[in-house]
Amino acid sequence: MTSDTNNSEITFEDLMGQLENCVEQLEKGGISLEGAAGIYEKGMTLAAEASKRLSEADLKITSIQEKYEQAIEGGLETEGLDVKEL
Amino acid sequence: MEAVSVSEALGYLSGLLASDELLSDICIRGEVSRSTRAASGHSYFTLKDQEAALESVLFRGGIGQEHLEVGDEVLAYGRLNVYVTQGRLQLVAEYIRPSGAGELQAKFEETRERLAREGLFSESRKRKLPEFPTVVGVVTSQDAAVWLDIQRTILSRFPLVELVLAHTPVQGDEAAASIAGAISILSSCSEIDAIIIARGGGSPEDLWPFNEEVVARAIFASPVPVVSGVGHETDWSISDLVADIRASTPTMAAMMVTPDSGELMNSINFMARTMGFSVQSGITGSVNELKAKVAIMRSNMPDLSMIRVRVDELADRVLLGSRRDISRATESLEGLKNSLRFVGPRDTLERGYSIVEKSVSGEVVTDTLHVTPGDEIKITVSNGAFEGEVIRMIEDLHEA
Repeated sequence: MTSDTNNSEITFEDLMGQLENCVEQLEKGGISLEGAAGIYEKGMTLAAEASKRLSEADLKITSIQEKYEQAIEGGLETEGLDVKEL
Repeated sequence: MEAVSVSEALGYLSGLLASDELLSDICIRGEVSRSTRAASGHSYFTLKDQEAALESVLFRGGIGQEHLEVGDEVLAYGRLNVYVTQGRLQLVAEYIRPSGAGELQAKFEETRERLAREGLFSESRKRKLPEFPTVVGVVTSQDAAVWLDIQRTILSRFPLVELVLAHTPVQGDEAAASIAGAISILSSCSEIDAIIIARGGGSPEDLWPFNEEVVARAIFASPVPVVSGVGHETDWSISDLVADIRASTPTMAAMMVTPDSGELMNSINFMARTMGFSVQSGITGSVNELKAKVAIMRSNMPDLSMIRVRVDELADRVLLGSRRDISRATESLEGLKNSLRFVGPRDTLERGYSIVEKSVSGEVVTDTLHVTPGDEIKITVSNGAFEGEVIRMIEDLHEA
């Protein structure tokens, strides 16, 4: 198992991308049985993680004010826009 | 107080109305709520708004009869008077035109043409929405049902997403600048993948902020794709034209921004099954390959039973050959024996020859020079021997 699939920070898009890549590699063939088993295991872990995220997700809602407060706390540039104008 | 007749009272009121500057030449905006056309060619209709209603008439020859459809928002130009026969206030209209069809429509067309020339609606700049958005910005009013619809739709489709609301009024004089500001602020937030601008249905005036140039330019400047879901399916705004994607309704906008979890689950399951099949067929393939190799190896192995037969055959041949050789050798040996016997001393002695040896040394005498007279000699014949003495030498046989 590669370490990146264990990383909870990996985006859903990357998860799906890696999963599709595993499927493609296996469909293309030309890999040793040991290699295929490794890819299969990785693919199944990715599929399980993707399904888990979909079934356990809970919609997160923030307002732009909160978002900017977070950004300012994080020391990010806000391009001089005044939130209070809203 | 002196009593007046009904006619007098209403006649007086009519006079007042006719002499009033505003009421004698007025433009009234309202929705047509009832409309009938009499055989005479006059049209009778009611104008209303949320709180009041006004009976009206457009006499034959009046302009804009075709706009008197129930539900239409119109501007009616004319004068107020009293229809004395029934004691009723009415608008006598001379000219009817659709509300907003004038200025607003002209302004819409002008803005649309100008921005189109600038390339704001160009198909080539329309961007694709991300397949799996992480953060979606929403520009709408937090008090409107639309905001709840968007939340509900996204929760049911792809709850992995984070929604960031930029609350703004969506109608009124301040709305356009506020909507544009909200778009700018959201689009400056680096995490946001896409922006929805949304408003529920309303009158053309209500939806007007979404036709304002400032909103169009904010959408155009957004570095992330913008989906416009303003009004109902039949409403088209400048925002719809400049946005990367136009959704027919706010709910549809939320659907367009997000993939469907159910379909994703199916797709994930399908991919898992495909991987299983691929690995299984890989294993089957390897096993078949192995079987084929074993078969080839087997077919190339020497056949031991055949070898055994061949060895036996060779052994037989060797044995046969040896026997023949032995008998041939035996025959040769017999011949040789005979030859030997023929040349051997015994046969020779039997044929009348004898062997002479010197008695003392046993040396065989083959030359006259070997003996001198007086030498004792032994003479062997075929059946025995006897001794004698050399008496005298006789001449050489060859010389004789």
